Order: sequence, then structure tokens, then C-alpha cells
Amino acid sequence: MNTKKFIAMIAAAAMSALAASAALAAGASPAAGTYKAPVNAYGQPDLEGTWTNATLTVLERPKEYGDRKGMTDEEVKKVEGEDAKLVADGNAPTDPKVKTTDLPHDCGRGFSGAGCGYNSAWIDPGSTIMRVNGEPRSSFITDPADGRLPPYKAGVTAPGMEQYAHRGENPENMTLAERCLTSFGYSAGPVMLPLLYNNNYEIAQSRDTVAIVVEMVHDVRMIHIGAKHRTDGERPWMGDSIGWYEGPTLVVETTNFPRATALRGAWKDLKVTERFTRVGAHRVLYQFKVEDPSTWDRPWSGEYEFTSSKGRIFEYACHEGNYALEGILSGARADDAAAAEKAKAAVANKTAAAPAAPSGTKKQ
Amino acid sequence: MTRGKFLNKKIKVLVLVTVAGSVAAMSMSHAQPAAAPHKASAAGALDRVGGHPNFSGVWSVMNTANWNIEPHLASAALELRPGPVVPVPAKAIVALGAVGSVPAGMGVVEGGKIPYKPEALAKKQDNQKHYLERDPEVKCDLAGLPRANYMSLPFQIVQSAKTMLFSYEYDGAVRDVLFNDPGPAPIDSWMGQSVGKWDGDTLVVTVTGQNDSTWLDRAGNFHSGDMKVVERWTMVNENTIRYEAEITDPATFTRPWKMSMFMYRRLGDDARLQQFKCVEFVEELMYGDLRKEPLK
Repeated sequence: MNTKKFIAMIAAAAMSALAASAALAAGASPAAGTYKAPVNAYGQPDLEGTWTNATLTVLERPKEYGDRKGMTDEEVKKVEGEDAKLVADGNAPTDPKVKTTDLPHDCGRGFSGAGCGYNSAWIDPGSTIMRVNGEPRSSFITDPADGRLPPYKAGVTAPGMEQYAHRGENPENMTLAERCLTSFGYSAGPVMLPLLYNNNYEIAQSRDTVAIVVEMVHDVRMIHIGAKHRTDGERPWMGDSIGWYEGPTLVVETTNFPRATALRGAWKDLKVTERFTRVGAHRVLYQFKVEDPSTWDRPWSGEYEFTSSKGRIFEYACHEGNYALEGILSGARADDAAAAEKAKAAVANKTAAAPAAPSGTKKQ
Repeated sequence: MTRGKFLNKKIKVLVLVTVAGSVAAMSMSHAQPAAAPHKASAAGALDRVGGHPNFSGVWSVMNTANWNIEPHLASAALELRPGPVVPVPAKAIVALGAVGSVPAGMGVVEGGKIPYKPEALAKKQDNQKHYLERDPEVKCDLAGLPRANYMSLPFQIVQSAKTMLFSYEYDGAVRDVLFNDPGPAPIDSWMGQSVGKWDGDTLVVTVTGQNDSTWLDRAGNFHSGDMKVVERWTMVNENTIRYEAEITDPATFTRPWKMSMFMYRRLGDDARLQQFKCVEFVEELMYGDLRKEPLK
């Protein structure tokens, strides 16, 4: 071992000791196995590579599974089979004579009518159930035991569509994704959650920084190793992430979230702790713990595994090709103009239909 | 003396000045995070990773290349219109006053002038007349290369023994340096495809596959979609990079040409890349007329 490597390892060990005293573990340690995680030239756990979290498993557990986080082989086969059929149906040629109003009412994944415009070829949400240490999972959330978000505190309500009540009136009334500011869903997180497509991430590590490049909107999470949270009251996009290494695990703690990227309504007092552990040549265990005492009475936590992604991430230049936002706003103005014309015509018709007042009489 | 030779001669002086300056800056900076932003090294020795110089850190230029890569004096605005006596700022820039004016610079083009083909020079001059509507930076489009390197905002290099990631503050742009050449870029993009190799301690990055929508600066200097950029990154000391880019684009220029400049490591509290998601800042410009009630 050369001197530099030795010094780097000593530094990493010292960091781990400091971190352990902080007692901020998000979840249980990964099961001990025979796999020995690689160490990089800085003496850190080597997490570099391109990774994906695409999966059919979702954050919150469907209620039919109750408190079962694991799934049977039959259940896995059913879910994956139904998805395969959905993909095949979605890949079937569309009759060019069909109008949007003729499209299926429900084409899966929450889409219907004109929203069925995405053929399966355009999406890539994953085709398999998430496995953690080989066990197929019914949800990412493992705590609470029912795999679902805990109830909101009294007086706190889940964010709904009311935030888009003025949709179409101004660019600022549109979603962050439509404005190309972040992904739809919560791709960059934290918590980093998969979505309809582009579930790819690249991790790069230097001595003092871990960068996580998020394919969606080329967001980059900069995690400052060994740093302290900012105390100036500023809340950057994706929050303020600091990190440290605990043995084979990268621990990332994020606070100072902005309101714009609230996680299920939580932002002001939100703290997310993530743990990244390489558990196989092509697997990184991702564990998370979410705390916000002003939103939930208790923390919630969960886990899934990233798998290595073949190939590299290509540029997602969203804003540069964002014809949709201009189109949506233009469409809304066209609707406004049509509505104004209709109202004007209605007034004109009403005036024309009204009986003329007899001449020589006075209004009473 | 060519600009290249002049720069080489200046390096030795800069090494001394920069080292002295950085020592002073470190002693004056605020309390630092537990992890040092870069590894302290013995005098004259560069930090290395994977056997190569370690470029990890936050860097930026200290020049006016993004305003104009060619030598230029200060001027009233990037876009001018005829005035009764001398040209005056375009109407949309007037309200900015001195803030809308252009700072002078020695330029970064070796030899001073870009060797445009005549028709390309005419286009460049026309670009200047229509700066506000044509410069992709105005609309917060990705900057492309080499421009992303010398914008006023910094960039961070995250380097390990096998990876080199460039993360730019402007518009959150990123690029990976690929050390296994995958062949021609399968599709053009704003930031192109960067393929790297080491020439001794110099990192050589060949950038291709860029589209023709980016500019080289705010002065209308442009390129075609066939441009090839060969960058040479050399650390002259732990806090200074000498950067050189050779531009080859036969559709636009009569011959390959080079630009060169220095980049400096950000120290202390400045050594943290901020976010400049300018997309939301240009919504009024791009979509203001489509509001339900456009502002007056």
C-alpha cells in the first residue's frame, strides 16, 4: 500500500468513527454476505457507475398485501405478466384514423383518453418487481409495517390538485416538470424515486464530493463529504446534502428543502437520511429514512436496490426543446378567446331576443 | 511572440504568484468543512489520483472570454443601434445602464483573430446585430463547449481513478469524460460527447457531436454542427489550470485555430458550486406574452 492510499484510508476510518457517534443510521445494516465491496483510490467505498432504480414496485404498498413486505412467486408472476401484456398492448400499432376521443378510456398506469399518447416504446418504468437481497418486495416503504406513509398530523393535509387550480394562466402555474425545472415525480429526490422513464443515475466520487447525476433534467445532487449543513436559511433545489462514510456505506443527510420540491407536502422541517451500500458487483442497496415532525408524528423509512445500468446517460435537454409549455399556454389563450367569443355571442343573442320596450312608456 | 509562447512564459511567474496567493487566501478563509477541498501536497507536487493529476475541485476563469473571445475594448452594450452621434445600446438594454455594458478583455484567441470564412464572418457580424434574440445564453440554453468552461460561473470537476465528471453551475450542465472511446456520437447534443486520454500529465479531451445551436461567446462568434474541439487541460500548480482548445470546423473557419487561458481553483467558502437553474428566470421573456393577463 502506498503512503497516499494509507493516509486516505486513515482519513476514511476517522470519518467513519465520527459518523458512528452521530447515530444517524437510517435503517438496519445490510445483511452480511460474502461480497466484498470495492474501495476506490481515496479509500472510500466505490459506488461509481451508472445505476437504475426502474421497477414495478412502488413507494407505498398496495393494501391487498397488508403487512407483507415480501411477495410470493405467484404474485410476482402475476404483476410482471400483467405489465408485459400492458406493454405489448401499448406497442400495438395505433389506427391512424382513430381520434383522441376514441382512445381507450383507461390505457394503464393512470393514463386515459388523450393521455394515452405515449406508446410503450416511449416509456421505461421497469418490467420487474424490486428485489432486496433477493426478496421480491411489495413496496419500498418497510416502516410503518403496512408499507404506507404514516397519517399526516392533525391539521396537515396531503397536497392535492388545488396547487394547479390556475393551471394554464401563467407559466408559474404549471408543474415543475412542464417548466423543465425538475423531473415529474421525485426522480432526484431525496428520496430518489423511479418514474415513467429515464430512471438512470450516475455516481462520481472525489475526495470531498459525491455527485449524483440524475438523467431527468440533468439535475446533479452534490453531496459534500464531511461538511456541515448550511445555516443561512437558504434552501437550494433538492435540499442541502452532506455525507460521510460508515464502513462500506455512504450516508447522506439532507435538510433545508425548498417548498417547491416538497416531499409529499413536507419541506420546512424535513430531513432525509439515505444510505448507499454496494452489496454486489451490480447492486447498490439504497435505504432511506424520512423525518418531519411538523408533517408526520413518526418517521418512515424504506429500501430498494439500484442495479447497474448498461450504457451511459444521454443528455436530457428539456428546456431547449420545450415546445409543450408554449403549446399549453397558447392553447389556454385560444380557449380563453373562444370562451370570450361565445360569451359575446350569447349576450348578442340575448339582446336580439329581448322584446323591445313599448314606445312612450316609462320604466317603473 | 505568439500568444501561446507568451502564455508559456507567464506560467512560471503565475506559479509563484498563485501559490503565494492561495496560501494567503487559505489563511484568511472562513472555517472549513472537515474534509479538505483538495489534498495538501508537498511544494511543487500535484495531488494525483489513479496516477494522474487530480483536477477535482471548483474552478473558474478570471477573464472576459464569455463576453468576447477576441480582443476587445469596453463598449456600451452587446447590441447597439445607431445614435445621433455614436451607436447607443439597443432599447431593451438601456435600462441596465452600466450593468448592460461590456467589460474589456485581451481575448483568448491565439493570434487575436478568429479565421472566419468570409460568409461566416458576415453571419457573425449579423449575430452581433441580433444578439438579444439569438444568443442561446439569453434563453438559458445549454452553453456547449468550449464556452461552458469560461462563462463567469464556475464548474466542478469530480475525478476518481476511473471517472471524470464536469458539473457546470450555469444551467446545471454536465458532461462525462469517456476514457473508452465509444465511437462517433450517436446523436448530436448541446454538450456533445467528450472522449478523454492522457498525454503525460495533460488531459486531452476531444469533443464532437455538438449541435450548431450554441455560440462561442456573447459576441456572436459561432460554429457549425461539424465542429471538433480538442481541449488540453494541464495543471501548472495545484490551484491553476492552463486550458487550451483547438477548434476545427471547415464549414466556418479557414483553418483550425486555438484559444488558451488559465483557470483558477476556488478556495474557502467559494469552493462550493451553487445552482443556477436559469430556466425559470427566462419564463417572462419566453412566455410572458402567453399569460392570461400579460404584464404591462
